[in-house]
Amino acid sequence: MKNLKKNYSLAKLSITGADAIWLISANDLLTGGVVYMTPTSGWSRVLSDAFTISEKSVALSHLANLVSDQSIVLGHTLVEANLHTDGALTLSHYRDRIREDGPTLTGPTHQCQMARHPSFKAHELNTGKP
Amino acid sequence: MYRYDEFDSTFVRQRVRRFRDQVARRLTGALSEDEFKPLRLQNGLYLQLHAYMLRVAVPYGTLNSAQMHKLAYIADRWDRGYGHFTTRQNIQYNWPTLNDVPDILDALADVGMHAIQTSGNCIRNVTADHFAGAAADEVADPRPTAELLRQWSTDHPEFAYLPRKFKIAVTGSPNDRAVIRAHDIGLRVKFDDDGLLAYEVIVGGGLGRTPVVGKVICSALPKAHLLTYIEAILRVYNLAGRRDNKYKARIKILVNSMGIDAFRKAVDTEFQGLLSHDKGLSVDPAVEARIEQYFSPPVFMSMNVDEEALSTLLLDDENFSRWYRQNLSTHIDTNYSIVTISLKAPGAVPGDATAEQMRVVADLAERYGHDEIRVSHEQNLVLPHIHRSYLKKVYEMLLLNELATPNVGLITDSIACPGMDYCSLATARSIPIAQDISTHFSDPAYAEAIGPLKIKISGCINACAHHHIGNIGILGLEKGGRENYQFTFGGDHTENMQLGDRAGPGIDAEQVVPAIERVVKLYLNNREGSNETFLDTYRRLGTTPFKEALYDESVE
Repeated sequence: MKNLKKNYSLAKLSITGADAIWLISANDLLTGGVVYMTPTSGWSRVLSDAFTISEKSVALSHLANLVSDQSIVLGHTLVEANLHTDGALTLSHYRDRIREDGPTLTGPTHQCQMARHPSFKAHELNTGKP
Repeated sequence: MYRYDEFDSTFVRQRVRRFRDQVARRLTGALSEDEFKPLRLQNGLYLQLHAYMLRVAVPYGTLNSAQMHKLAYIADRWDRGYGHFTTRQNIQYNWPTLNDVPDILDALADVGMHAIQTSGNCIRNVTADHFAGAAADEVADPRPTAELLRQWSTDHPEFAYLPRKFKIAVTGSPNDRAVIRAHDIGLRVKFDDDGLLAYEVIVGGGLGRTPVVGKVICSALPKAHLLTYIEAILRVYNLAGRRDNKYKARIKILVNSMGIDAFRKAVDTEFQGLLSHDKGLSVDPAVEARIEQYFSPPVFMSMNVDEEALSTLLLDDENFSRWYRQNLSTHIDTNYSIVTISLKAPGAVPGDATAEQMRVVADLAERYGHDEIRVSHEQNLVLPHIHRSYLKKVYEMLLLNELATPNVGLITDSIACPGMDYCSLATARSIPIAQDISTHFSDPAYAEAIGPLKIKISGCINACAHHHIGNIGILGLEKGGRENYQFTFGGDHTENMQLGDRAGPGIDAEQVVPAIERVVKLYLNNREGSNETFLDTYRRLGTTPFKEALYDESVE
């Protein structure tokens, strides 16, 4: 229960113009897993590999160019994030953080997931604080 | 239960072969996502937040042990070792990869199962009372009707692209355990004034963003006219239902806009036309007899229960005694009980079962339960036919596998949709709320003292967890970038279905459990005797004190 309460503190960060950046995300065609567009227009499962775009209009333009190509990914979407001074990326909205980190659950079936898939990401969500 | 004949098997295998080819073409790029998406949805494959999700139909919630073993095998081999039983008696796998899905569908076909029509704007899996064929209050088993509807609706060419999805539920009992008034069509098997089997037909029910309690369109439809009348309803809906706005496309909107009398008149006209021009949709008596035969009750053991020995077992084991009081229901044969297996252990995900738990349930059904298992819309499993001499053995096996939580119908027996932990439509999480509630109220004596109390938690306004008809309903939304939970009180999911009253503004997630505790204490302090349920007390006192308890943190 304590773990859950920690997760409940999730909130959308207040985005200031200077901090807000944009990423393009999608789902991998084969697994449905979350991926991010990289600076070389490839796709990576790792958030820190993501291409960061400071202008929303530019990000939207990229997105518009990408959506027609669903050969290896699908479900393209724009994701709002914060870029911290140490270079770390924080996703702004709790939906995107859950999407990135996986289900926030505890319990036997969740343990089942973890045991079977050691690579499955930890369910503790980033609170968004630097 | 129904067994596939050659036609069924051929049909399902052909669908799997076609889908295998479609998946291959998608992966090579021969099919675009726009072309592929409707094909995958027709086979129950969705894309959710982090992965694909495969929804497998469990027609009328009935499984045998071989089918349950196969579901466990699929969970182990192609998913992450568990499955999620849903509020429409289906099972969902949350992590399949696209190229494995044809193999999963082939494995399902081995045991007469599939994922057809578990998505899309078609007639979905027909659900039924999970105590069908076992309940003491039953007039007739609803499953032959549900099976007939399944056969009629599967791949029905006229109804493959309805304005919106269409859900049918059937009960054979006056006590509605199938939520028929919250379905597009609800059917209740009954006797008419001449003592003949007939149907009360209810239309236009549904929850979601516009919750509506279904209305009676025909109070006693002769059994022989079932398919003709249902076809007439679907024809009227198919032609007149809105297609310009998906939020106004369900039949409930059409019925409300026309009015039930005008809608009934339109259906009657269509019905009479079908009868006069095509003589209606008659069912070959041999087919009907074969379906009925598949659902004939098992041969119950005639041995009597040693009541004295059972009483001793109950006296000696308080936990067994509590489970016996809480999780059993009255069977049509007095030597038997219906056993509900709670998938709501403290802190567990409602509706989730590990592959090992599935195997345990399958083994129990095979050994002690005439090979029958049911999935309930309340996200539990049911062994419908357990001889009472075997109850202790069954209980002990369930206990060993964390399946013996004695909480059926109590505050911790919540239903919850997948919410934002999985679902791409969700606006907030629902499962962690259910987990918090079941953890907080985990003392079984306290939960039993509170008595019957249905909490239903949805993670968005689509209301997959039926929050409108929970005694306490919880709806997760987003407000100001935070998860926010609105409450309703006084909903009723039974034959006296009633929508709950909205309490007011939502509250933050961490306030939910303390608020429920205050509401429960208000109820306990004000009920007139221990037999007055939460719902009774709410109806007697009205909304005001419950609202006050919800919001006022000083109230104890």
